[in-house]
Amino acid sequence: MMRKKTPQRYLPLEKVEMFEQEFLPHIHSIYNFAYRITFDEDDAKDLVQETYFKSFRFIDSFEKGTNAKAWLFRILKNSFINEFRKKNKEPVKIDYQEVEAFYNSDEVNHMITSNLQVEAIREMIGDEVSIALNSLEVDFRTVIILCDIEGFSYEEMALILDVPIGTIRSRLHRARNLLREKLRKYAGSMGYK
Amino acid sequence: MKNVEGPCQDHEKCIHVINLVIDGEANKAEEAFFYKHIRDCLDCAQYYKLEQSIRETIRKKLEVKEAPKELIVELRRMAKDSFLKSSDDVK
Repeated sequence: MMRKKTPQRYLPLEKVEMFEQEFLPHIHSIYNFAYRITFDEDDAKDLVQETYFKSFRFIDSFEKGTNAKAWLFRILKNSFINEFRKKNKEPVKIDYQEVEAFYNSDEVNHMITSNLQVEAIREMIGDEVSIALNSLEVDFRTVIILCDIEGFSYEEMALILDVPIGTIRSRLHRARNLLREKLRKYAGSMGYK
Repeated sequence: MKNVEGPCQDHEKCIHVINLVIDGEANKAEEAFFYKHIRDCLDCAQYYKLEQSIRETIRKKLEVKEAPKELIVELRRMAKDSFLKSSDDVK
């Protein structure tokens, strides 16, 4: 899908053309994702540069005309895990079990739904949504961004994050429960009951 | 009004299906279940509306950070250096 089994041999001018026509159109999505996972403009720039630099190095493993956006996101995710997380000493894995027990339960789904109203969500401004999203652990934030903002399918997300589709489903489910809870708190502070 | 108030008897399964439908990932059987169930279950109808509005709010109101122009210029330079320099090396 994203990569062909046999590496290509593209001509130099062909590579420049691929960069301009297939890679560069995704620059804003790539940068926005980098910013949303690093919270820092300079780090986001570095991460994007690193992503594109790797795309140049490995361009022969990319099949022209396929899913460049997913391919670039996958490179970015790997760069983030391998370099940024190490550099910033952020824990690589979060303890899903800890939050799972509470947020995956029927009662919580029920409680959160009944206490949060559609009107409250629609009244929210971008900042409130942004703060709620940013307060999620990076793995949860990532699936929300990839799915809801970038519109990737579960299959594409599984390829980007290198996990089974089942993991994508359950991670999204947990991420959404957490996000709803954050939004519910904001809604409460806005006076919605 | 067809919707029945009160807790859904199979809410966990419904939540799973509702999310698949909103994400465009449901198969035909799941879609059929969803459209039939949502007419009769107020609980799930509310959950569906809420989930939709959260997705919509994220898409519409979250600021999208655009890449700075100088970064794009720099990437173009890097691409040309990387691709055209390597062709010079071959020559």
